[in-house]
Amino acid sequence: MSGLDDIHVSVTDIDESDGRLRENVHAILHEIETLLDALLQTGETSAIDIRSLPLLPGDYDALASALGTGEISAEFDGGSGPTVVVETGTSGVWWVTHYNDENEIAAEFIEVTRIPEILMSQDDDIQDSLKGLRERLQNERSH
Amino acid sequence: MKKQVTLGEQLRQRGISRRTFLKLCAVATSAMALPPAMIPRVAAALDKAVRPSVIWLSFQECTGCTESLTRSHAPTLESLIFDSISLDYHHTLQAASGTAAEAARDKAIKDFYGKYLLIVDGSIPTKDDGVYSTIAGRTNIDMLKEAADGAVAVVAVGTCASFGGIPYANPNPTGAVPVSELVTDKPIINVSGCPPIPVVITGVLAHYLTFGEIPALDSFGRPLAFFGESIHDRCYRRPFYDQGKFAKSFDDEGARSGWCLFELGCKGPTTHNACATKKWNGGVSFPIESGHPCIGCSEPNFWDGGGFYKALSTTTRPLANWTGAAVVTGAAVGAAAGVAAKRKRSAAKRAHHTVTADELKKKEEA
Repeated sequence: MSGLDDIHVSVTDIDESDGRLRENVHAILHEIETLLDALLQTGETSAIDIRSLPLLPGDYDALASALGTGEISAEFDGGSGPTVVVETGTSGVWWVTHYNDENEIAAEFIEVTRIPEILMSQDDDIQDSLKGLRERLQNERSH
Repeated sequence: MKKQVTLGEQLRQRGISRRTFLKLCAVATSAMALPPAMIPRVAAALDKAVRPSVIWLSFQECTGCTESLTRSHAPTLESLIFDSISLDYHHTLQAASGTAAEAARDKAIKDFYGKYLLIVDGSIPTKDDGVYSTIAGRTNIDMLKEAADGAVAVVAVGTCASFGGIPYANPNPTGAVPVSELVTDKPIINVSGCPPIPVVITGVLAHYLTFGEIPALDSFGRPLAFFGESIHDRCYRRPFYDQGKFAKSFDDEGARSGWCLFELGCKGPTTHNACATKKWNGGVSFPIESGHPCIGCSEPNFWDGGGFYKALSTTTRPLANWTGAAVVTGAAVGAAAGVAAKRKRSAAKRAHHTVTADELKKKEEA
């Protein structure tokens, strides 16, 4: 499918400070530092909605590379477009991207948590599975 | 009427897992511009939400607002219509036409009287008893009043429905008025913009669906979540304004370096909208990011504001020498510029002379 992603945009770095972190990235990393500390101290989890930030062209990539890539990546698609969950190189910090069914980014979060809730099996789903499993076993027995 | 199925039940019946439901809630929370900490509460509310009936009326408009809506990516219009709302009348999007279409509207009004959400795009011409815009032989005034009577609330989508927009601009030949001048006894949510950002339209609908009530509004009746901050305050070029770095023309060094477009007429300081964060085309860019000043399309009377390329305040001096102070006073300067712009607008209104075809002809002949 051709789309906006096919239009190549090259970002000229307008930040004059060589080698230093961009202002926006610097600010976000500070926020993450506070959130990570809270995770360790109190277990409180939190998230940042990337779409709510007024990012400069290039900030997005700079932020992603500042956080790095960790050991885990996971993907699921329950029928409404894929969700990609990637652990960043900063332990406890996850990058969660939700796509819609046309493969456009619908929402994107940086989550500060031990594991994003969306990866955990949910009680409702477990109950459904348990019910299905029991019915199957019941049927086996009656045959 | 049969018992209404909740959104949670409906999705489960379709085999949507709880995990995917949580994903949809995360997307909806972001679309509503709510903090991520609200996701669990959005999930709890959406689980129990019932699809509201929605009637969409288009009056004196260009269909740009509907075009914008169809480009919503989070949620997509399709998922909104099939999963979240029951769009019972929208004369551009519905399959029915002619008398069948009119009958569908009458039926929805009757079946969901007192419960449906009425969405209006376009202004309403009132001059000469409203003859300048009619649908199926009925004036817009008549149709709006009938539909608004049974509505729980009215969402005015676009600047025309919110503030009169382009039809309302001087000299307003059709006597166009916004929804708020004709509907005075119902809550009205103004989702302004020419057109509004797609996710702002769907975000407001999602808010109503989720919480069953209208969101917090500003003094112009716009949802604070999207219109609470000015373009200027959230603009990524704001640091250049604070440093006194301005593009002076569209092709100078400043323009190429991405400096502030204030002197090229940017209306960012007086304009409230979510363009700087939600952006357009699925979050790709917004006018300022593409090198063009904000034209202030989500504000009342934006078309009569005195010129898109005229700087808001001609007295703005270069800020380069007092950068430190500018950071603090920047907001105040923006506010002052807003007052100046308002004054300018009323001056522009007074100075505006209407020109008749006869006068133009005389000029040509002279």
